[in-house]
Amino acid sequence: MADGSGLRSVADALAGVAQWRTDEEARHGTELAEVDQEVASLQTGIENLKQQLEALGRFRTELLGKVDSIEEEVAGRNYNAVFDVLGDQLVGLSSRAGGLLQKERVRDAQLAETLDDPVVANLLAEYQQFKEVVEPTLASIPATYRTVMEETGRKQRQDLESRLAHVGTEPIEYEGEPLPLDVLVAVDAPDGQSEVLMLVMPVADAVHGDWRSRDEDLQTRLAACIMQGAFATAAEMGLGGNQAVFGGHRGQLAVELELAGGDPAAIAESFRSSIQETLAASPELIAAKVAATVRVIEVDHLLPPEEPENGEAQA
Amino acid sequence: MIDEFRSAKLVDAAKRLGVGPFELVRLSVVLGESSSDLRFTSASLVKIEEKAGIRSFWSDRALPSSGNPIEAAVRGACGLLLDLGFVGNTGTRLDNLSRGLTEVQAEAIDEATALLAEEGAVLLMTATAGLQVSVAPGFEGKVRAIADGSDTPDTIASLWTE
Repeated sequence: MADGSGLRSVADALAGVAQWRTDEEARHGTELAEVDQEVASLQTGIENLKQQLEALGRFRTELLGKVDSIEEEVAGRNYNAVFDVLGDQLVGLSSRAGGLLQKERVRDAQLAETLDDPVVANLLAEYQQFKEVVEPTLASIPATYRTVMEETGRKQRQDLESRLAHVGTEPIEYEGEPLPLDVLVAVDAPDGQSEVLMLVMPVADAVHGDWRSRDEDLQTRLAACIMQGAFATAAEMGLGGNQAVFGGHRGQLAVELELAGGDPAAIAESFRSSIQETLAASPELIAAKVAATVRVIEVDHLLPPEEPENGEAQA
Repeated sequence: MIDEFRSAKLVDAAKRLGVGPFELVRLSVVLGESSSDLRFTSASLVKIEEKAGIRSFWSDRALPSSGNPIEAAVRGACGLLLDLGFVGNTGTRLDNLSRGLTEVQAEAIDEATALLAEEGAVLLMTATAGLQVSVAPGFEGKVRAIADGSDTPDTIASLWTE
């Protein structure tokens, strides 16, 4: 403490230094605490960012996997899209075929009644008499006479065939909208050379599998027209003896025909144009208003996606 | 009765010839008897039948006696090939061997033919008239032994024993 002289004592000076020290230590201590808190906060932030980076890294890996599987997914979606459409078209064709078959049955049932040509009626009566009365006795009559009678019966039959061959065979007209359909052509060429022609059509596979018991209808005739065009092209390529293999795929009629090399795109186009021409010339399909378009398609679109191997996780 | 004189629809015509409808389509195309309306007159069917060599061998001959209809069919088909001289380049349509028999018998004949073709005892040849079959020269004895039942390979016998 200062005395009356106004001079500070050493003790006061040292006490002042001590006070300064106390104050400075207190101030810096506060600042250090604030810095430490900031560092701790930043370290927590860094940890959080690290975790976010790790999470983003995992998500990125997942996304890369998903990008890789798009190709596979597209293949499956293409396949399903193709066969879903063909399935819908098959339903439409089946319905139209059923209606026309019903009309055809009615026409056939009425055919005998509507035949009013007296010449034909007379010929039919004579031929019936030959079959029922004369033919059973042929074995027991002399050979010369038998030959004459057989010749008579043959001529009667020929005459009737020439008059009746095309009676009631005209295609039945469909009254309504055209039915758009797709007929698919693909050429499998794993090594660049055409190996197998593949055809898929919106026709029930039963048309082939159950042909003995199933009524011939518009589906049968569409498939037959397609095969007319396909066989004609195969014959032009010198493959007329190649028998097609028929089968079902998701209920649709699928056909495979062995090829003998050649540019797949050119061969596919040959089959496409030939089948399209055959379809366009079919009176039956025209009358039924079936508007079938033959399209060349990638083989992969006709094949089911490969199943994942055992143990492989499904994405 | 009128139907008898009308041109036949595809399936009816196929039944008449004893071939599948799409095989009839193929034959009509390659043999020049194609029709845009897919109907066939009796005359065109006769032409196709002749040009394709479609035969019904079993309509006037009997299968060998056997307690098993499959064995009878396979042995009969083997005997038929030799009896009618279908050896080497002289063949007949494969389905001629089974036309008129049951579907099961026909399948067994097709399988037996395929097995014998693998061994080289039977020749299968693609032709415009349809898949042709004949006995390979030098294998007449082997095929005859199957026909008479004296020596039937196990692979063939399995068609009716398994």
